[in-house]
Amino acid sequence: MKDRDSIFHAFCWSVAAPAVGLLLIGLLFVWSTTSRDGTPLLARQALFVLAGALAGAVVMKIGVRNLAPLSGAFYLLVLGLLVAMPVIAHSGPGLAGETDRWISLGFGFKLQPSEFMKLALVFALAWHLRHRGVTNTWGSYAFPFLITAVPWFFVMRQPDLGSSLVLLPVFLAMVTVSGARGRHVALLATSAAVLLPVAYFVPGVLREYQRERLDAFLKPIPALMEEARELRQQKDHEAAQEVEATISRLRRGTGRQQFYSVVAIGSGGVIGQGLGDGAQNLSRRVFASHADFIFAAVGEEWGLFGTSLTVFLYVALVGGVLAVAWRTREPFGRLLCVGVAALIGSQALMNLGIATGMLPVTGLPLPLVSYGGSSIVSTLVGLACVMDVARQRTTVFFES
Amino acid sequence: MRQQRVLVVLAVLLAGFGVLELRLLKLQFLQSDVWTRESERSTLDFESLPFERGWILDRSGEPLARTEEVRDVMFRFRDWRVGSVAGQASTLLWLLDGTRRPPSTALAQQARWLDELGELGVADVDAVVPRQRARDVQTYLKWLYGAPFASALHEALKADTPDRRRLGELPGFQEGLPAALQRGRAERAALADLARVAGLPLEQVLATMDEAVARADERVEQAVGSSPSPTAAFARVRELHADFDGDRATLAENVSYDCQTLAAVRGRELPGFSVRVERRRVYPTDLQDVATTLVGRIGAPSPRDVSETTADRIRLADLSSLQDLSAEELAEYEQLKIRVREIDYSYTDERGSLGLEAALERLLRGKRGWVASAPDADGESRHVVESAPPQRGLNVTLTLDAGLQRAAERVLDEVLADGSRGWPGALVLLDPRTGEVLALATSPRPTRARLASDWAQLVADPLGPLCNRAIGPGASGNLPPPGSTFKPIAALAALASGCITPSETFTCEGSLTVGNTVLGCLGHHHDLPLREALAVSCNLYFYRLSERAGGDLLREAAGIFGFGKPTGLLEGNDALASCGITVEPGVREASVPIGQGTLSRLETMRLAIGQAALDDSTPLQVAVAYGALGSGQLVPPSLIRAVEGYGPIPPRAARPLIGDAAALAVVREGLEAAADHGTARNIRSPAGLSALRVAAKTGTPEVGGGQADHSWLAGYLPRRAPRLAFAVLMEHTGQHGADACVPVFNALLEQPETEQWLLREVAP
Repeated sequence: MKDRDSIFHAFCWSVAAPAVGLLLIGLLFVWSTTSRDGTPLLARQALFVLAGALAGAVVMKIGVRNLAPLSGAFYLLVLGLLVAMPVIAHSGPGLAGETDRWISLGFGFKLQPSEFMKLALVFALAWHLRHRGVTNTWGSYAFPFLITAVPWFFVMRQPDLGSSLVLLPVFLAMVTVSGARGRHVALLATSAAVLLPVAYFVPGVLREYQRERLDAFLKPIPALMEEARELRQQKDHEAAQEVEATISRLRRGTGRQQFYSVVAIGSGGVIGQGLGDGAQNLSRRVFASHADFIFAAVGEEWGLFGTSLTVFLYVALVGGVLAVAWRTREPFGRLLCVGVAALIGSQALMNLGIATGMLPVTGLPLPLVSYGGSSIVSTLVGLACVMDVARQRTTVFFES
Repeated sequence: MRQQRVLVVLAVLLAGFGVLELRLLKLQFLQSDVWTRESERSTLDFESLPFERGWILDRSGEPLARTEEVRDVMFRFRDWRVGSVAGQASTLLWLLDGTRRPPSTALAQQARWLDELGELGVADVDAVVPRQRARDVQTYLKWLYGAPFASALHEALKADTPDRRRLGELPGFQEGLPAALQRGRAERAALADLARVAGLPLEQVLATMDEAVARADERVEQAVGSSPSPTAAFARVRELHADFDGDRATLAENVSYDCQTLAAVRGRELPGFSVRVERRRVYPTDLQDVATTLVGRIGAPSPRDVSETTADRIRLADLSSLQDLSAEELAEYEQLKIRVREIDYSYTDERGSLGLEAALERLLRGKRGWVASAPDADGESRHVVESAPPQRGLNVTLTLDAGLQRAAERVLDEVLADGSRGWPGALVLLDPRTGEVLALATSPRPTRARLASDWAQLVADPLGPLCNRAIGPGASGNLPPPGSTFKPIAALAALASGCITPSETFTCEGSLTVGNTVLGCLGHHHDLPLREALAVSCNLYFYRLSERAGGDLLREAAGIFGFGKPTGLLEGNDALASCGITVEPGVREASVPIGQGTLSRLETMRLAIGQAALDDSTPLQVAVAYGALGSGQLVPPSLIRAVEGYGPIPPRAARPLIGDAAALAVVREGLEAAADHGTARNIRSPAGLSALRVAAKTGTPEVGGGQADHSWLAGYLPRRAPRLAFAVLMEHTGQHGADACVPVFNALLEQPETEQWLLREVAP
């Protein structure tokens, strides 16, 4: 029987190890992408990791059992911050170029409530669903849906479309595990898939630059190049020149970031160009290469080995967290782990899908790897909760 | 709680990661080289290095066309605004309030602005949006006032509480300001010196700079379009400026070497200014107007060049965008890259468009060099990844003797300018032993200046100055018949076949009627043997001769002597071909084919006296024929003596003539007699070389159509082992060859260059 109060003994290596691996990759590539910029962010990233580890240690000390009843309060607190952001916060150009909102913590550190909103939603959903779960009735979905939709709306208005989109898989995963019928889940998932294109066409839902990004995605540059090539083969040089003009306009504009991310990843080949030596990295073609597009640097400098390692670590991390969910008998704990796994997993998938050109660009950090304090701290806190659940997996906190 | 449901979530996430891994495999394993090519394309910067065009030299190495280094002073706005105090200050102000202050104002006001910027508040800098603009403002402030000030400013901006200080109050400003002022003064002085050494007033230099900046601003404005947010708008403007500001403007052309030195030595004080060295085709002044149409000129690339270049670029772009390249396609890609970088004609290239410049383009043109650079680790400077030096074009040495060419042209020009004469014509001089053409002169002839600028007028000119009458027709478009200069060839043919003996005589009655036509003779001659007939150029003799010999025999002889097809001076030159040298069109030789078919009696008679249509020939052909008569074998002519890297060009294969030495001796005696007491008797041996004897033949072909007769003189000297064969043509003189051409030839012999040449080459 382990000493339950000793944090060290409770270390869940199947979760901690991949997390540490990803943090290290993050540190290395924040260095690689910023060390020549004149604003080396490595030290700050290390600070964020430390802060996150500290917060996680505090959480594990307090224990999930004691924190769980505060889920509602936590949720409302962060939601309140989120709603009040336009009033209380600084605004200015964010990492992806659009206006972001953050709360200044002094010394140039920023707090982004949208990152914490994701974790708060996991807590809230887990607390609500721990006993009843969802049943056959649509009515039982109402409340979970509501507590997802409201933050979704406000996060999207930050604007932070990427983070808002992550809330949806979290909702679906937790609802699934809490007993939703397959039919219902399928319906929910497909309706989301249908609603998103509707959002594209309804004016006012998406901002101009978001629409531009979708356009750039739907007609990505490689497809246009193929089209131009075919036109030339058919000797239709005028039409081909028009397409090529579109390509060079895109190269200068919205599609550029993602295009060069793909170029960087592709040109990394199998073994990469070496840490710090990537050509695209050096020429700084990928904007926000230390943040949302950090995977471009990983792909360019560490090649297929690096990218596959990263993917493997995410799989291991998500698998480790879900293993905890599988083994634990505590319903709240299980839901919490599923939520954290869905959060990290879907966010990673979305970010990597964007970086490799499979999804339209939305601003989204890569968990544990991208530069950014709020993301790292909230993720590490979430993982700390998972580890706490893991060491107490035989216990049920809350009887129904 | 459904434990199994956890597996569902796991499965979904795993599926997602699986798809992702497949995508990575595709990008990084299967398509890796496509993306590497694209990465290369977007990060490598290419700079072209110009090559030097090959020179055209005469036989002794004197340049008829060479390249010269020309220096221009260039101004590049981007380097100026980033590197000079005035540029930095004016750009900083533009960033702050959006108003562009032109360089002339900046240079005048820089001291004041540097001072006044101290009055700006930290809060003002803090208020700058969007963030990229704020960053740029801080960067320019750093460049102007130094790093300590910049750090102090950075600290002040990071602080939470608004800073009420002025920039001038921040630490580092008071130290940075005098340094900036001094730098600004030094730069202004350097620019004034540069203007002075370049020979331009400073106001003009400043005005050009202002124009360049205004032009960049205009182009940015036109291209900027609309943007979704202020951030994106500024990013776009910034990017466009980064592009357009990099264009170079010419401040001063053709400056001295001192100017180049100044720009190099004081480069640090002259950011944005550079001296670009270019190599331009130049025709040396003393030989500028010599053989202008023969040497030719330079022009823009032809439409065919342009379409070849475009096709190459399109193909290169195609190959770059392909996913998989086969081994052949890869090889083609590599080759195309080199062709596009080094060989293909760009829009600003020069290429020969007339004469030898065009014909020898492939030899004269070199290869561009290039430097491929990639950004350095610090992102600011660049390092060379790969480079190739430029290759100079090949020098071509012609067989021409510049002195003889100039003498021949001078003599022809005198005739043209003479009011009582004014005839166009041509003069060919060649060495019969080797076939080397020593002079190929034609008149009228444009000056080099007119050739460069008056093309349309030259083309329209009825006198046909662009025609080279030595190797082609004049303004009429028809080649001249050789007239009586053909007679020696007819004579040799008849002698060789035995249908005539040297002592046989015919009586000349002055005219002969054939059918409805009356054929005449120039005079009444009595019984003439062959030698005399040649000497006095009796037509009747040759009419009789033609009846004996027959048209086919005469025609065959014409062919043996090189009539009826081009001599292959450049195109069709076997010696050049054997060296592997290709010549392009540019120097066109004309000829009239001899043809087959049977000739009537009338035509045969005309043929014998060089009046048949199939006789029409160029002075070059005539000179070659007379060189053959003098030396005993026909050596086809050549114009190129040597090509750099290929070595000396061997002489072309000599061809035997008809008949034996005895027959040839008889004909030669006829030519000597012509020069002694016959139609060419007025030829004067050059002064100081009275022992030098010429053998020659005159000709006065009728042209018909109401136009005046042409005049010919052809021959060789000295009589034994001739060193020079010549042909002189004067168009539409209406005079005998003796009266029109002999004085021209005498004038040629009296030219100092001719005398010098003769003394050097022949006298001993």
